[in-house]
Amino acid sequence: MISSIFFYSTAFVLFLIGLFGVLTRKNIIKILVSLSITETAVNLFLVTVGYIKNGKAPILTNTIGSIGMNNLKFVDPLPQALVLTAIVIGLGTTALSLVIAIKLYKNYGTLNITKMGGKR
Amino acid sequence: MNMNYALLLIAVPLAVAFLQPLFGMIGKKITKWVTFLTFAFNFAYAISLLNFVTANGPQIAVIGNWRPPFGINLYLSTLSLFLATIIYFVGMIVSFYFIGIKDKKIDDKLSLVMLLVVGAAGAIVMTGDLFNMFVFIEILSIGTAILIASRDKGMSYKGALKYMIFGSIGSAMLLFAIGFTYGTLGTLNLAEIALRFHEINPTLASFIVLLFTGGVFVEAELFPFNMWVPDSYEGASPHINAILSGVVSTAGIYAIMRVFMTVFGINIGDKILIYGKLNFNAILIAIGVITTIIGELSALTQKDIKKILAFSSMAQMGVIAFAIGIGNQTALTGGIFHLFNHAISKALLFLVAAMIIRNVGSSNIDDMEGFGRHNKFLAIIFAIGAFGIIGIPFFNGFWSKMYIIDGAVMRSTPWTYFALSFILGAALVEVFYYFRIIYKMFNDKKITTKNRIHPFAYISVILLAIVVLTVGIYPSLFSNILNSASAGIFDRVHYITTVLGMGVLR
Amino acid sequence: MKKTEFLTGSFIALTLVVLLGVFFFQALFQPSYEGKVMPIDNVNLKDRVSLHYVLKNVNDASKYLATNGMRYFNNRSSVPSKTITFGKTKNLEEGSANEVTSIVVNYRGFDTLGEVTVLFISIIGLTMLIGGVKEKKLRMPSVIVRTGSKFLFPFILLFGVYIFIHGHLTPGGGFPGGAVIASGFLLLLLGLENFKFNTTVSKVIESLAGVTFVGIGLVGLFMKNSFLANFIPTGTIGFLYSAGMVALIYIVVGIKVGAELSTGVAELKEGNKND
Repeated sequence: MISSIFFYSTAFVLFLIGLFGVLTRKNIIKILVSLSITETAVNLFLVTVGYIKNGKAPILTNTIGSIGMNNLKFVDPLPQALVLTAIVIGLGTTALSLVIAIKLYKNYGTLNITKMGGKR
Repeated sequence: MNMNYALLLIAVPLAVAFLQPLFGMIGKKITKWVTFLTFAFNFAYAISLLNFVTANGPQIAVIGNWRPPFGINLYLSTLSLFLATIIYFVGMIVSFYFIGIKDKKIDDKLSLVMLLVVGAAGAIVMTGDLFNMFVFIEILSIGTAILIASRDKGMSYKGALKYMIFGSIGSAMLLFAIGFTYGTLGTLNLAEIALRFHEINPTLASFIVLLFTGGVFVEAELFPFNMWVPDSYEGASPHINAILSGVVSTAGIYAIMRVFMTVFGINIGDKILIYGKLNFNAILIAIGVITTIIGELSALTQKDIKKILAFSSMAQMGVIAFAIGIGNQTALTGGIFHLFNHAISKALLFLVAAMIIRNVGSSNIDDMEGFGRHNKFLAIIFAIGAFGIIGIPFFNGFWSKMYIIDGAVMRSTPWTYFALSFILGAALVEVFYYFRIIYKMFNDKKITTKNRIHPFAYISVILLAIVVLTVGIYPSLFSNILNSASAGIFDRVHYITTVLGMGVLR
Repeated sequence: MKKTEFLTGSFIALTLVVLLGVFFFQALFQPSYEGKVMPIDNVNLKDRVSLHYVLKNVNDASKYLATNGMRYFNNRSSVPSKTITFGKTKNLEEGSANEVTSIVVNYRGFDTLGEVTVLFISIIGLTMLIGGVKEKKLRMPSVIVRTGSKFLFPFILLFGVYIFIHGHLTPGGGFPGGAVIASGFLLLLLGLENFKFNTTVSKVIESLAGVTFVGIGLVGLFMKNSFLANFIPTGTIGFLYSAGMVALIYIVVGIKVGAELSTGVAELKEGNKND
């Protein structure tokens, strides 16, 4: 059984990798990929926060039957709801930044941010 | 008065925004008017709520009939509604100005985005839930990026991308902070977190505060996260900049005030200290001083009027952060007052700058030489706004800066005096570069102008100038509201009991 | 010169990242003295507010909090609750069998309104900024692709509708359902050469769906005196006609997201010539 320490650490290390990429890369697409990595890291982290040992998916079905105070079989559903929201927000951000990247390429003819000098 | 109806302040802009594409099919002018009327409604309604709340104390509005801390709630205090009123007022004036400019192809969508940005800023200052705040910060930051990019120049796309990158990193950090908070305390409600935040291990608490910083400092234009400011302000249209500095940074500063002071803070003596192993009050003071110095010195070296105003805006945010770091009630009153003054004066300055740029055809201040001789009226209005920001006696900024200095002196530690001296020194720099612009404008030089200015533009700047002058002459006009607002931040117990009920003290 | 600049930049970034990492591990693993720390392998639902979402006793918990005060926070599980049985228990305060859905749409429905708005604003921004980018001519698809995509499209649409109608019972809901619908339109856009996606119609649908969402909230405000309050009976848990307005909202969200994402995909392909 893997401890949740592993997932917390993985999530934060992924975040740091993304942050490092954003800080050092010069190509816009690479920066956006790094941003996606940070988003994934956050989602992994949130899911880990809600994980309960031996918990089932939080959906009441025929096989689970019933649930009460003394037989809580579910993992925590709230972080999953947060992740759902975070994914949609990530989608919106990524789509918009990619469109901006397209327009930057139209305007400057390059995707390298250091070469985008001058007023245009 | 049924407080749950305060949700209309958020629901109406959203509903109108969803309808905007349909209005856009009829005509572009209609969308602009609809935006303006929505803001006017919100402004009027927010004022009536503000009066009620100032008289009867803070209230909560419940969403979905789920009582806090289980559901999402709005917290309607004097501070929230005062800032909401400012936000809607600036939105109203800018959208009124926006009616006056010539229609472009994308204007229907632009007025939609404006509606959502201002609506989201209004939601940020009223919400009582951490994750809900995050969602609205995201709407705000995506909308702001669109507004910046809408000028359709290479520069504006560059500014928008920079803002998006900072915003995304910030939002990832904010989500980490939310995850840590939920993992330890098992709740997302601000009042419950405020009640139980001191139960968290101090090292972890420091880390949470640090991560939270990333999310809100982007919007608030504070030091490590404000690298986007010059590029974005330079790239955007000047009337968009009025929204950036009047609405977006106001919402960001509110998030810092509310979350750092009320939620993460603990009352010690006559001041609030932010909980954790690190001394975040000292860090906030340091960040405020650094932001102010960087802002003012960079503004001094610039020639582009939009960049000068942008750096000045950054510097004012630093002053407010300094006031928050001081942490006593006088300084907080000054901070809130300065936030108001900054929003109004900066909106005025950016709108006048927009008119001047349209008239002169360039945003370089050397090209504006002699503009004051040509159009005395606009130049005088610009001077009024500038005096308001600098804090010339009997203009609005003077009184708010006095409050902040007063609060800093009351702390009376050597370090505070040291920091204060830097803030005051930076204020002198500010005097210099604003007077340079005004001097240049009134220089004797022939100037050729193009583009007539729409009367709506004049009306909007005159309204703002009237507010600046009135507050300067009667600073006690808002003193009732301001005292109640800063007391609201200060009285953490009242915040908790208002949201969770008197029972939690038992 | 360029090389050294790059190296210094990387070095500074690396230092920053390492510092943050050290702080993280210290905060997580070396709790210096007393206080709550992040739970590791010992998460208990009874410490968290979502306990009441799962057991659907939020109203009882509010009453308990009002009378017992601080004692509630020390022991959340002392709130009275009853066992919920699939297909049997009736008239709960919230009748959705999928607990994530009940949180997303009902207990924290306001977040979802914001989430829908985020998607809306980013698609609006996309269509606004994409103007001027020309359409790229694609290679003519083969007969198999053309016939296959035409044949598959109605089934994909049906599957999307199924997902968002059953959002309160099974995994899924408005957002995945909408995404599936949009993928159907994407298939048509790529598979058929002369397929024209009518963005005007999709924009009208999108607007109306969005207004309906806010409208449902406002009906709650006027009828039940609270924005987004449930005004429809919740029925028996596990049945299709259950969960009150959750199903209604997820249908609206599904239509809205489907229309929105399809518009976005079409605009990205066609380069926004029509306005």
